Amino acid sequence: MAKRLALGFLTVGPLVILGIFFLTPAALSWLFAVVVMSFPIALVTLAVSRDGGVGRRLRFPLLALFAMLQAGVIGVLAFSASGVNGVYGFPLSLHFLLLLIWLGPLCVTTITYAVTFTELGIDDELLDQLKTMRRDRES
Amino acid sequence: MTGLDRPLIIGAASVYLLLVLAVGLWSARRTRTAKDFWIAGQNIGLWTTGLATTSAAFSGFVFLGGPGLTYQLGTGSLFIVVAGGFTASLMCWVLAKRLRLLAAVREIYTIPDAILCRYRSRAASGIAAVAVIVGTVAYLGSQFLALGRLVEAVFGTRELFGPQSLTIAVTAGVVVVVLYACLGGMIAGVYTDLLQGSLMTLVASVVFVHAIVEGGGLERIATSISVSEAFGSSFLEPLGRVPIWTAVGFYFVFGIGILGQPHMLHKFFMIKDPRDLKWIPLVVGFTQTLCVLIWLGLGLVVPALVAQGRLAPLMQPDDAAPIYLLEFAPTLLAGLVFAGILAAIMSTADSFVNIGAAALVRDLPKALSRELKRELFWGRVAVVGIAAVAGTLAALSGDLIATLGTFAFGTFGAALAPALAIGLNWHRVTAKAAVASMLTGIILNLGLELFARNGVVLLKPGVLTTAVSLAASFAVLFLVSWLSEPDKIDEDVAFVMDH
Repeated sequence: MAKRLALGFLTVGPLVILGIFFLTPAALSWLFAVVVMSFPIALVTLAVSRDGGVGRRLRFPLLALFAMLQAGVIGVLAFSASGVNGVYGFPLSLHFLLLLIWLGPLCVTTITYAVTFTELGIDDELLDQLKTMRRDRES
Repeated sequence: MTGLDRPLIIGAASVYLLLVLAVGLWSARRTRTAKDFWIAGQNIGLWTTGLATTSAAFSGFVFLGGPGLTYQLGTGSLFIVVAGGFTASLMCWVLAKRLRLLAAVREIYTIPDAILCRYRSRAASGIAAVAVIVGTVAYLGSQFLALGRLVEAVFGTRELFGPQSLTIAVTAGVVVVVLYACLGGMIAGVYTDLLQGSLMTLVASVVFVHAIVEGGGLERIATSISVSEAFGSSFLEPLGRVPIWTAVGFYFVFGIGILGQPHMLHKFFMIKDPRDLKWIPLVVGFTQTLCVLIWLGLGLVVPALVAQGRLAPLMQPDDAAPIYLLEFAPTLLAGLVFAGILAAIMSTADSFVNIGAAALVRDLPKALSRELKRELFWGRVAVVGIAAVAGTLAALSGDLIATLGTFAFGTFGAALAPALAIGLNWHRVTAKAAVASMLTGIILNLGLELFARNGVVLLKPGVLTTAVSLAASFAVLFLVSWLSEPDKIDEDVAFVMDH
């Protein structure tokens, strides 16, 4: 299911982006931002899916990442030119960019990757199998 | 003021260059085969791979172009680098494991090699090689241009040589890189990357702190920019000076297009133990984040200093970093930073001359069903040729550093990202689809860019040509894949894809 959703999004998403580029309504700028922010999640989902799903350990981090990126870009858009400032007098919109689009995903993705690495299955058995395949192919 | 007035800066740069040449000589003794020259013998550890990936990605574009772009565009320029929050992990999840395991079952030294294995199509790998060559020349040109500007700023060549200054500065840079890259190939590349990645991370962090203090603290920086006529509060808003199409377009191009960057992906072939991939996102992600601090720090403090009346408005935005370092930074720090920037530029250039040379002497001949004997010798010859062409482009183009880098980055992304990212994770992508996608990416990116430079406006204001070509390339890949008959995939390749 997750893999199919990812493939569906990756098929339609670029077409939506291209359509928005050539249409003019400003309201579609929100859609453009939401679609772009969903791209990395879809790609990771496609890459890690096994038997159609992403597995229990990756489900929550991927959902958290999705939520973070969407909240970040919506926050940037919503507070843009609002005059609302955050810490040290920098605009609130800048805080959304730095915290939810940059630093938050950095922490979530790097830690998740390391913690769930064993699920990628790179172990001695796999490496031996690959050596055997190469030897057989070259002989 | 130039570096000639501060000999310590020249001293630091000279010490760095000597170290680089020493590493080059050391590497030359260890470079005996094509495998050594192209992928450092596939014998590299975690930290070297991680720092090599960071320093290959980050160079003049981040250290010089970034602060300059911020001076011009405000904080909207940050959309280029904030994608670094997830790109290290994205590369590892989507591509690193597949590429490294492919390199375990087959003799794979380049991205076109990987494309040939996946699609069993010489047309696909040939087109990938052409994309690599085109993008390499443009990207190298941006690095040499950055190098030339740096040499001009530090050594005061504009005063000495007048209109010929840039040509002379660029030529000097090209000669150093060619010597270095010819001697040691990728062994030299990755071990200098280890040195300079460490240096870049350190100096970027220190410069950030220094810049914030020099600007009077974050609050004073924000206030002085907000109340100034030249900049105003819109400067600090992410969408203040940059339309959303450009800002989010940057994020799309640099966040997703990274999956087509051969100078970064190439590093995954070199890692000795695939299990080290576990820590790569942490190493790359955090070192990249520390490096980006110089973009943020100088990007904010230089406009603040102009707003405070302590610095004259810049004649060229790309002078932001050199002028700050020469006018405000302590001599030792400035010396280290200039050495660090020099290191960063040269190492990225070294990666590119290597992969460009590989595309010329290995990938293109293979695509034409010929293979060159004496690949190591011809590789060295190709390094000289590629560097000469790129140096000429740098001296003649007159572009802002960031613009040239964006174009090249976009060419790689549009041409290669879909075929690799989707193709290595979904069996249904066919060779026809990969070919169509790569051609779409290359032709659209080049075509739209040429039209724009000649005043023909095909896109609405703010829409990036690279974002259009990347989206189109993905769209074509899926369209053709769904419409064409599935291809056969070799058993060992399928095993790597499925595992």
